[in-house]
Amino acid sequence: MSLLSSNARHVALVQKSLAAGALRAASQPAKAAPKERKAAQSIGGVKKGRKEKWETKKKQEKIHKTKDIPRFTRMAETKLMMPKTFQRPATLPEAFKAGSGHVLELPLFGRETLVPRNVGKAVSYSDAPNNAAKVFGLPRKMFFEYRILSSPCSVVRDVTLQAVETLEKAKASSSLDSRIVLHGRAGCGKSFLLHQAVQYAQAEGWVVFYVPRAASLVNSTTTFAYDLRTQTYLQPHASYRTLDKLLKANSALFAKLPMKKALVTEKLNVPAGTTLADLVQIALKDRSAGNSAVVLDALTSELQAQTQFPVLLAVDDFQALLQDSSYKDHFLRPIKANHLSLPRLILDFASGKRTFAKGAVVTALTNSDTNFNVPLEIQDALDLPRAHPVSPYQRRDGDVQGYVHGLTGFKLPDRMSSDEMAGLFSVWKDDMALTTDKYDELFLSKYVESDGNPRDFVWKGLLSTFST
Amino acid sequence: MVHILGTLLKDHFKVKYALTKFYGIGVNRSNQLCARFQIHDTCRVKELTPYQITAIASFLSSPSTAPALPQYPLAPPTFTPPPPNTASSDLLAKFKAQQANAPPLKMKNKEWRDPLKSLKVESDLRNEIRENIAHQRMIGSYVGRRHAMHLPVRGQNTQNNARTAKKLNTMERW
Repeated sequence: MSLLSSNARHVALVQKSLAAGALRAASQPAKAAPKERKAAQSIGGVKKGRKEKWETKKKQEKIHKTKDIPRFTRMAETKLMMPKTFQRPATLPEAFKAGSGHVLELPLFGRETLVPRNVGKAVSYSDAPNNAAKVFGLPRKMFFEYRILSSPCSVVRDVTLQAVETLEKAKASSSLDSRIVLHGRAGCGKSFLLHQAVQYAQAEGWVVFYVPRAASLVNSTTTFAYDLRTQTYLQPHASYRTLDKLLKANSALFAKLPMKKALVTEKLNVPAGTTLADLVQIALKDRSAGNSAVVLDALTSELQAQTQFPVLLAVDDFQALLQDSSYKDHFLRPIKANHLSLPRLILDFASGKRTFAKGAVVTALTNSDTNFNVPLEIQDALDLPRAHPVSPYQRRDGDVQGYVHGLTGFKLPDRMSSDEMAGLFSVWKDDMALTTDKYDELFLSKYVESDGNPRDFVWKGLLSTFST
Repeated sequence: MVHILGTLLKDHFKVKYALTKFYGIGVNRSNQLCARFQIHDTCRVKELTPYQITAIASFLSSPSTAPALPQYPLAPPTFTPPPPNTASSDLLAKFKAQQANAPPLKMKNKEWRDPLKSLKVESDLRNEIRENIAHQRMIGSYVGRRHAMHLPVRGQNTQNNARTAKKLNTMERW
């Protein structure tokens, strides 16, 4: 149901229901007079010593009879149509009416708009069908926000420019040198920054491999089957969907990349020279996803070796891949994430065991997922602030410690600057989401209340305020 | 819609809840079964492959005679897998040789016992219950007498209530 329903539509609905009611009354015959209720009877007399109880019971029944159920009458038509107040009628502005076509008009996200003078200004994303956000999806909380906004956009921040600079440096070098983990307090903008990095990379012609919800790879929602060759649990359907998304987002680039090595398995024989686009199509033909895992592995190996386009592997919810998954083995023991095929693929690149000849691996932690907390191993590696004192005797997994070794932490500032926050405020103001026109007062009060935290500013500040 | 051992499992049910429709399988047993057949938490009955359905059916028909569970080796971080064109028969032979020499699995310093080995479902379970009641009667115990009289067995009051016992406590239960 639309939040922005017009008054006119409400009135029309009410009139329709009244008309229907009138028709119904006309079609039904007049009701007969209700039957008289029989009084309670005792057959064969009352038991000895219970006459008094019987008398009180009969009296209670009489009381119930007089307490009729109230009859509801229809409200007068004129009263229904009246707006709530005369001073400020309950009519919505033109922009909210259906078919008004109101959309935020903002400059497009790209190299030209990502300049220091634009810090604090909002930019929107392209509407192309191969946009990484459309193809790969978005993290949950970002998705909710974009569902409310009339067009997806975000504010250019200092950290955005730093991310752009980092990606430019990483363009010509191996991903071994650029393995970054974005961290910071909950709601400080890690997922948004990662998304901006993905959009920038796609606009600049990189191959993008975006995993917006890595937790969905380990929360036991897709098929899994043990494979003797790789000694890991393959995830056929997850691999199938990943291949499909990779092809949709990077189809133009994949069509230009030929395979350097042939892929020969028991079921497949793909010769060298086949384009990556054709390779993925071969895997997608098999709906049972039998070949998906091995084809995804071959595809990433080819992307590793090629130097034509830099590759960005962007993973949100990275902490979910560093602990036990929700899958269980035969013996009902939890399967570690690094023993599942897709998480293992990501961890191999994040740890530097496999590298892209040109590209970067950028990951982001999520502090708000209670099913997958940030584990000790990465807290130690990045020296993250601890909520509770941690003992050196608490067990750390050696394998996970190996995977997080060498990762570079990038801490996002706890607070957005006032310019950036003003830009964020203007997005919601221009999108007609605010309930008051006292903008200065609202902005300053919510900025202080949220302590500069962007998520709290928007969700607990602007969208939850009762001020008018 | 799948019929296994005479029980209908509807397509839209999650497998871990659908399996509880069997008499003798509750939530815990169902989770153990799903783990045994590598069925993920959100798998629906319609998503099960014919191989998995046959495996479940053959297991439930006689759980005690099911083959032992294999102990799959799991790749350490430094593991490099053999190339994709390696014959699966070679891998299988190597794995079987490894399994033959592998010691039994231990959990918390004790040998792991399969909780599903002693599983009984449907008619087997009903027969076992009937045999237990018959045994109690045969040895002339209090429990047996109470079953025969259709009265509560476990020391409940009979001045009032005892409706369930009067209805269900029989010698020919199930």
